[in-house]
Amino acid sequence: MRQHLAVFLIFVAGLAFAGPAGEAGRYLETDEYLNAAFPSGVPAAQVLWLKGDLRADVERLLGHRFNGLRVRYWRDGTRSAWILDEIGKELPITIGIAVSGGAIASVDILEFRESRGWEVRYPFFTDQFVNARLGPNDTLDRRIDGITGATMSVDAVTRVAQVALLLHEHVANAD
Amino acid sequence: MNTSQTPTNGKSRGRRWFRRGHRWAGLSLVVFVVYLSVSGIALNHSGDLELERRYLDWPWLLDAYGLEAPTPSASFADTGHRATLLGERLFLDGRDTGQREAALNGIAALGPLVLVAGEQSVSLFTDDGEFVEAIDLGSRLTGPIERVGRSGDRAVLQTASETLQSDADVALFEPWDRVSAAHWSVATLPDEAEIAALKSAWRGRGVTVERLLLDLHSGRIFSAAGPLLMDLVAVLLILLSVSGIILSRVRNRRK
Repeated sequence: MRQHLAVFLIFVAGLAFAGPAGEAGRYLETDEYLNAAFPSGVPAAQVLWLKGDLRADVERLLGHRFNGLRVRYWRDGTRSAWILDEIGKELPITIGIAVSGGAIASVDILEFRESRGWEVRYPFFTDQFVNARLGPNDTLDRRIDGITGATMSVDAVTRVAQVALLLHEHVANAD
Repeated sequence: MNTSQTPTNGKSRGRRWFRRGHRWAGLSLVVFVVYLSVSGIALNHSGDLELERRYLDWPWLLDAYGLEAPTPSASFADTGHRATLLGERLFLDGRDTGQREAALNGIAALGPLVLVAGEQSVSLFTDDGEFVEAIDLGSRLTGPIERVGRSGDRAVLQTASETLQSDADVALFEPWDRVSAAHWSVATLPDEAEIAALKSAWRGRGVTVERLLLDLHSGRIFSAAGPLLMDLVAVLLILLSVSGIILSRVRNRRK
């Protein structure tokens, strides 16, 4: 009985002192992300100035003013990659979105700075976006399941996914 | 005779001390009761009184809130533009850019764009200070940026082992070897008036009246000891209520 109690107490102490399974931090450097997004070679960076209707559309999707006048992207044929910052609760999350042929190819969290909500980095969440396209009113054509305790981070990633699809469509149509 | 008088005297002495204690506790808490009541009423009507929109910028108050502006850690000027780092906040031409940098290593005025460099990244602004883009060069550089300059309308960045030049859009940086052709920015301190203006900008509009009242009400204005003091006041108020009920019951019983 005493031995069981000791094992139980050690287990509880272990739970109490164990750090979280994941945490905020820099998960991917920009070049690592781009090498993964473009396995056959990273194209040169291009910049897109956000002006007029495009800026208005981006800000409508984000629900706030976009911080900056231009965004950087990488494009090779029908595939593009966007690295965008969006605030979850108080600090920006750096999110990489790869788009191929108008559908999301991958979503990666490059850096998460807040103490809560970092679960959005895991594939069980990011894989939900794969093959998502813009539907009516520039919303995603599928439902993204949330994560308990990470609602604001989930919303931020979802908004950035919509913006990346919109921007991809814009540069594709500009050809 | 004596034996029957002693407990009665002891009891009455105890009651006297109890009453005296109740009176002194009441008197000493008057200031706090008024203080908490007035701040509580004001907070209840914060919206009507627009307390969240009224700002106080008294220097002693801002100092009490720890809003003591740091002295500039680095400052560079180029062609009418000046970038200054106060703490981790980057100021351009006296305005807070909203960007955070651990270090400031130079500025380059490139006509319509102004480039400000930290150690691993550069921030771009328009000529009138609007933020354009932050470019993370961490994976592109072989070391931290040490010098920033310009060559014509191109930005030039130098690390310990290489020199890079931007394209005309300041979108890409490529190795460059004409180092002697660059005009390098040099660190210069702003004058006293500029520093005063920067510190004022760093402090911003100050503290809202609502924030001050909330902190007065909770005691947080008096640092860590404040909430403990307010807890003590609350406990004393509870004891005062209980002692008041006891005294009133004793008096009623006598009647």
